[in-house]
Amino acid sequence: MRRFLILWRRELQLCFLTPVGYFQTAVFLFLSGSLLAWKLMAGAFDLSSIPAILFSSVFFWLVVLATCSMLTMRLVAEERTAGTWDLLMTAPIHEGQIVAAKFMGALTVFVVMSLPILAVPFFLRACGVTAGEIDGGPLAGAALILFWVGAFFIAVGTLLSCLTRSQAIAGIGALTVNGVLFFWGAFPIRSAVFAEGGPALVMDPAHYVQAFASGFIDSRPLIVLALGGLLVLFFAVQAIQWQRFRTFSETLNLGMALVLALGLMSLGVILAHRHYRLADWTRSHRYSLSEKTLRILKNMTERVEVTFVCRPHYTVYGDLRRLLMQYGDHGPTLHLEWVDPDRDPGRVEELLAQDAAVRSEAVVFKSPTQVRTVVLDDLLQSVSEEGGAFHPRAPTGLAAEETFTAALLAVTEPVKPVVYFLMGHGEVALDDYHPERGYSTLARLLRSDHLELKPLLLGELAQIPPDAAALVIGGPTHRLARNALTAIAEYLNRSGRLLLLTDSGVVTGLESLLEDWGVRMNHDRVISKPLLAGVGDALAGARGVGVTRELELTRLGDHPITGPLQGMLITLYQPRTLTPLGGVGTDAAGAVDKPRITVLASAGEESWAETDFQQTPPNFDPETDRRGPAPVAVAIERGPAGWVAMGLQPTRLVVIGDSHFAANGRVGGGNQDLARSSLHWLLQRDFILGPSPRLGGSLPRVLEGRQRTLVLVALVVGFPGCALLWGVLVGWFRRRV
Amino acid sequence: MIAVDQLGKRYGRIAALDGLSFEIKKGGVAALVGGNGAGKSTVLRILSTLTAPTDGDAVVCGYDVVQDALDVRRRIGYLAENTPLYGDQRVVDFLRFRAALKGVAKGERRERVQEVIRQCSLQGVERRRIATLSRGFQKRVGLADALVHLPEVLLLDEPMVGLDAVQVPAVRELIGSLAGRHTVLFTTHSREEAEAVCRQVLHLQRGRLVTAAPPVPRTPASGGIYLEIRGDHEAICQGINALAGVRRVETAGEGDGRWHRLVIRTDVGRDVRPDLFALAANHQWVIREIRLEEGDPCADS
Repeated sequence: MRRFLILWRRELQLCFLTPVGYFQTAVFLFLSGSLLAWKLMAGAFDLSSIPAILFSSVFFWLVVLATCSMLTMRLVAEERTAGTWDLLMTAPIHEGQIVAAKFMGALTVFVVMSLPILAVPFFLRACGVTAGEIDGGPLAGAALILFWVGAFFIAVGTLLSCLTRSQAIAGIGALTVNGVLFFWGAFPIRSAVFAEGGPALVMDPAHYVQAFASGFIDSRPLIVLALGGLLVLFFAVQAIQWQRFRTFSETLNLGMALVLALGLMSLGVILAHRHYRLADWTRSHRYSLSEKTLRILKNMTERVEVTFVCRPHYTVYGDLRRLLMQYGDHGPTLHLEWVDPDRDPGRVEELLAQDAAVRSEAVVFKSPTQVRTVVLDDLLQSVSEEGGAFHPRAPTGLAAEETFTAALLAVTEPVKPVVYFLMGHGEVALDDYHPERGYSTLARLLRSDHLELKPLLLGELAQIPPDAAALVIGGPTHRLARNALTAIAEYLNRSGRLLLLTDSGVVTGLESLLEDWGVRMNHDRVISKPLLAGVGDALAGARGVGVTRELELTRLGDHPITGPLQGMLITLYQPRTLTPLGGVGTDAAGAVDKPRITVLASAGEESWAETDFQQTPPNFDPETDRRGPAPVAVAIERGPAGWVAMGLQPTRLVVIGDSHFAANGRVGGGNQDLARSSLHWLLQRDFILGPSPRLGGSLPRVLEGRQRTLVLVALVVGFPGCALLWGVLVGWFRRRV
Repeated sequence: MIAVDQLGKRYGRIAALDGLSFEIKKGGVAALVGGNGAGKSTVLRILSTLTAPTDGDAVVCGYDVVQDALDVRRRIGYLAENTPLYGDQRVVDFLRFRAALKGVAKGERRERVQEVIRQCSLQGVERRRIATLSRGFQKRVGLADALVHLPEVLLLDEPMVGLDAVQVPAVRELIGSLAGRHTVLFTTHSREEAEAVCRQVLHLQRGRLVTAAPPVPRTPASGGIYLEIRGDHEAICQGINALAGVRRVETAGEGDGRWHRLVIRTDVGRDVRPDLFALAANHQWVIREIRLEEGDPCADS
């Protein structure tokens, strides 16, 4: 180890105590800095995406290739030419230590060279660029893959330098071999020899470097590159030892050793492909699947073929590919197939025969019984940037996971449950786009959950249709007709499912029905103080000042609906309180016909139930009002408990004291999850409960005039100039001393 | 300390060494003498583990040069013919780097470096970059490198080449002074140079040892040469008698079977030893010993 360190230090001295190393650094920084400056000025970006922007460029990797070749070509070849190789080989040091020290020396120099480029986001932030936040995950991923790929390139360069006395041959050889290995995905031979997605794919670095730079980490390329690098270094040591002997028997031994090593390497590649780990290092967990998707994937039993038909240069190819890889990683019955239409038109023809939508970029989900195609262009939503600039097709608006998960549900659920929305009593309409009084957004979300939604008007001979999987009564403003109430009561007695969203101050006629089910709907409204208000505001709240009508739910019950939503922001608008009659909780197993009531959400202690609807501003009156906590949402279940298998279905109700929370203008964030999860629990679709996927990304920015100049000067002149100046100083100093 | 037995090295069809055998005792100084292509450097490259023999064995300090290369390297100091050095380093830095690489303990390193600088007369240039030194000084730096870790065996390939007339005696003296403390094997083209320094001269020709004898003072007046040689007795006698300057060949006692002991009487002032070596090489006779007869007034006049 000591000798290794001595040689390693000598390699560093060769680079950093002579102007040559600084000149190489300056060239590297100039080329990569110019490229990055050009990319940053060409369009919008955010600070967390800078590594991905740079790493997506083929030119950058050519610069890396050339730099690594330049660093390695002299390692052994120069020593051989100068004769100093004999100095090393007559010293008591093993060939492996020499190779390792030379490799580590070159790698260290490469790492030092690259650090300024990786520090560009910090530099930009220091210059006042405020496009998003610096995300350590993508930056760490970028550093990891750059150094990892660089290490592999340097290992190959070291080997070639061991094989020849000519630095030029070693350099050109390393450039060629590394270039072919790195860009071999572009060669048609790969499609012919290996199926895409197979083990060979992980040896295709061009595919995953951008993913790492985006914070999406895949263990496969790391293992394959590490194994490949070690194998190459092993070759280098063997080559040096062989050069001592050059006999037939030694050549035979060497050949057998190499075959064995290649076999082990192949085994490692296959194992790496079969047992891999994916990680999302982004701060926002941009590439992590939602809990809901994970549940769906976990509960899937049918084999589903997912075919990604997309050209690699498609706008969001990388993002979608990574997302689908996550699906594949978590879905044991999912079979992924990657098809490039330009390379494999025959496969596209086959898919076209199934669904004409495959004509454009698409993802096809196919189960044994159903096919669903998602056209990728439909996933892209235009994003308007703050400041007026408009960037169509920015991937920040990608709603891919939501859509893909819906498609999976569509092909795996044989029957689409029908949910009726009661109409005719002032209820919120499914096709109403009004931000406060419309459920069109909720309807779209529920349809994406593979539900069929139908409005229901109850006539004189009122009856809930027999195909109703559930009934939703959303915000009635008038009293329901007697026949409607009777139909609902009968429906519930037949193991019906009801989601009741009822607002404060409204008498619907359902009050007595609900009391039969153990819940009283109170004639009040919850007034709260803002959670983020200060102490002074709390005092003011008692006088009716500084209060809000929006209730941020912080007390969620332990129930399948609300359990996964803990910590999410759910806001109700002046909800009415609900009182469980005869206690809360699950009765003993014997009480099958008694409703079991669970409080889903309560207003906190800082709120009160205001009974005076006319009082403005509302003020707490100890005589008539009630202090929190007070339940505002409950779940009711009657019938066999989960463990009683008698073929009977339980009756289920969810009552929420507000209907506005699910309206178009409020249904974002946790509100949609409360509404969707409530309905899915009613339908006994436990696998779909939980938070839904979120749209990721942040708004990109473009550089302003002064910033553009600063970036240009710093990246093109500043960084390389500093390296060059330092090199000149070192050269001058060495001449003087 | 160095034992070579039937050593062979082939490069394709060309035999650089062929059945070479010799032994050098601990503390001895020996020279490999021969012309270009004789195989001198190849012997040193094998002994220094830079290349492996194709036949035979070579043992240095009890370690096989093929099997125990690292053990051998720990015990040798090697000076290559063209003295490769890291030109970018200062002399003292280079020697410290080499001392560290060769395992000299950190506490002793400075002392050892100063010692070899003094030993090789490098005072005054130790702070200069090696690339700026003359060839003679570079040779001394190479020698200092070979000595810096106090190796048991020194392998010096053409140590006198490139030195000026003033430096050569100094280096000769240095090599001579190493005897006893180190076992030294060096190569040279010049027999005189070899004989001036060492007590054992190994004459190589086309990869074969044609003589291995302690040097004797060259006396032009002597006319009797004692020879131990292996080959066909009659053919040897006939061949030697046919050489110009040879008056007669006498048998000096009983040989030990294959080896014949002869005394060759020559004309006064005529040195026939080069002719004898050439003759032996041509007929593949092996000379074990050759020396001038002591006290012999050079035969008949």
